[in-house]
Amino acid sequence: MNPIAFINLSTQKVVVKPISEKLRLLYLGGRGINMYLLYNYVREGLDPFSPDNPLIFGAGLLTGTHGMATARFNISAKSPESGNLGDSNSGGFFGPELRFAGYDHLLIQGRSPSPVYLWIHDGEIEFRDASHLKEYNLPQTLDAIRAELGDPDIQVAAIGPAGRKLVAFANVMCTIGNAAGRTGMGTVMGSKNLWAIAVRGKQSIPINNPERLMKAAEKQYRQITQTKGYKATALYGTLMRLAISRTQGQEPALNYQYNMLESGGEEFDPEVFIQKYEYGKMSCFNCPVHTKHLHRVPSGEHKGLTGSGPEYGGAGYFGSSCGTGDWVTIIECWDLSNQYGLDILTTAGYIAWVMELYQRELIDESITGMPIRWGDHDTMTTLIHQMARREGFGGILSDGWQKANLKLFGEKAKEYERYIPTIKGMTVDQDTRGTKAMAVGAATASRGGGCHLRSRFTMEEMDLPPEATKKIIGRPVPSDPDSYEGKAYPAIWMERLCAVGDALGICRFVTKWLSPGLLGFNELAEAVSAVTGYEFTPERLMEAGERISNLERLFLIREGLDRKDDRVPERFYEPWQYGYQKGSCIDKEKFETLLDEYYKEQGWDAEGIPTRETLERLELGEEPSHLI
Amino acid sequence: MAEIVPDFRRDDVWILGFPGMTFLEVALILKGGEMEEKVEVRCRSCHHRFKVPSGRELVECPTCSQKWRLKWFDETTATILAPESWVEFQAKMKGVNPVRNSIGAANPTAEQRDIISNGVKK
Repeated sequence: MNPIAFINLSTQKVVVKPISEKLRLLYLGGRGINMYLLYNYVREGLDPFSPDNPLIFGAGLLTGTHGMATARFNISAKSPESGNLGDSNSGGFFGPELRFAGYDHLLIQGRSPSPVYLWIHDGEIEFRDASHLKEYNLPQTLDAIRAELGDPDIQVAAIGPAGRKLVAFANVMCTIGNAAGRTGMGTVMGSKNLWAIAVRGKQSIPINNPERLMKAAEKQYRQITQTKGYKATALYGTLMRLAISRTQGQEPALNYQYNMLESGGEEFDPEVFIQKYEYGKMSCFNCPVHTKHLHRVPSGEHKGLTGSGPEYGGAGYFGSSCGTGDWVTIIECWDLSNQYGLDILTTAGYIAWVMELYQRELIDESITGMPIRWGDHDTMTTLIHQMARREGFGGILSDGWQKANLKLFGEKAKEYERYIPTIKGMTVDQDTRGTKAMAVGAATASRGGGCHLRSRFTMEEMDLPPEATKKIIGRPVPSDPDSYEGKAYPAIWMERLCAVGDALGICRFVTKWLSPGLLGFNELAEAVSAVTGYEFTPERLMEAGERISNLERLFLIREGLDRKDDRVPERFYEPWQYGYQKGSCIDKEKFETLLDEYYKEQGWDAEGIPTRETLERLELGEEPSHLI
Repeated sequence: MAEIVPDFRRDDVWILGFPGMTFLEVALILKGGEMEEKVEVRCRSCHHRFKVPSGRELVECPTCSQKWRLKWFDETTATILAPESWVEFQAKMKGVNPVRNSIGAANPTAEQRDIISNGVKK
């Protein structure tokens, strides 16, 4: 397997070290090895803006191989957005190309005295001046580097103007539409004066038994393409979720005040988007699902606006959450955020937050300088410009909601925190009031924000009989999504599948995270065995996922987080008003009991701290350690 | 199996006296064949499962009478995409306007009164 490059931007020195077999077998790769490095290279209380904060890029164990949807890589660091664990995942082609260029992981420390980008090609790492990129937005930055290096197939991970201005929720983008968005990894990159990484290579990825992997991939392909989940996602992409959220009453309407929104009417429908605005689809490396939309606005004031997306994150959060169902407004906000390099979910979350503050007359035009009306196109685009440029009222939000809340309300800041739904310092990205396994998964998600990519037991909303879930995860789960009974284990099972998927570099859309007929531990174990030459049983793979989750938990505990931080936003204790699940909410007492059950299943104590026995079973008893 | 004519629209079928059916269904009926109901979907309003005739693009839940638009990916795979009308569906589910409901200030400003009267403007 490829090594890790330790890159010091202050001294422009590179040290290359192999990944030990033991580390590989324990943590696999991608998010797994990233977390090992993060835990070992971050000291307690480290300032995320410190040059010592390690920025870690990691391709998955299967990334770039001929397994299915093997495009993903993770970026990890201590987060400037939440102050806790930072980790974000992206598809596209950067991860595979990083491996073709000769590296599986990059650990970047220090701070360059002037802006630089890294040019990594066939094992060589060059530091190149980036000051000429100063005026470029993100797509222009990607194009400029490719043009400068003279190869259109070069893959670039870059930050945009927001990352260069150290906006707390800046993303890292590879191609337009492929972003490592959450937790401000672009901000960490900006703080190091590292504006981009370009990769290109022709090296092969060592695979122990290519024939076995090819057979496993063929089987996976057949399995994936037979499911309804695949067929729906291949056509509508993540916008399928928009139709589900709108019919099920799971919309984050007006900053989660309501669970259904009327704005948009018949137009706010994925089929309308496909018919009116989509002109093509885009795929990541080796993916049969091709969920990404390419859009073009055909008429009106914004005629000719083109780009990639939007995904459900844009439709749900610039749409329902900010009070609009107008596709053109959503598309423009999506494109603007991408051009500046802002995380979509946080950007939309902050806009919805200040809209609610304005609605409640807690802020007025003397502070905002303009009316902040729900769903207003000009308000939304102006706030995005301001946040990215650190100008005007939007500039108050650029350092994150905690600092903005203090600036706006001073002594009353704590009282008004309830108007911004967050978990572990991050704005939430799903309303889990009606789905209790998802709720406990969201409350305990290691990177905060109730992250839907950390644990989301989607089977909970599919009305599956308990016998069916028993076959899939080994235990029966009540088909009522509102029930608290037996919901801890499904959340844990999915948490481990997500951790393994990220460690392997596999997209969620080909796993049981999306649909029960897709890939699970059995299928992935076969592929891992073919690549490594070690026989991985599904149980062993699941244990690797458990190990990664526990190491992330240790990171959070070291930063002072515990049971008090495993919570849902206050607003989720209020009932949904409409639809099939009218009245659903989180019952505090029942949720605490569910959390007890979750901790017990995890082998953690009542405060959510892994017991010595659990750590030793997972070979985490000696961490921090030095397996590199 | 009858050949499916891609441009044959529901409105055309309506003229033939078969409202809401696809050409495939009409062809089967005209041939004297029986509709097969193999595919099941789950109503997103009442969550009961029900069988749907192959190819039918608009169906009604037999339990709660909600009408749904179906998306057929192939002859045996369909999913509910959306209600026949979002506006009617939401009115049924809610009965109140959340935007009006959300402007909860005791003394609304002139702008808020405008929103209350005219709804959210783009």
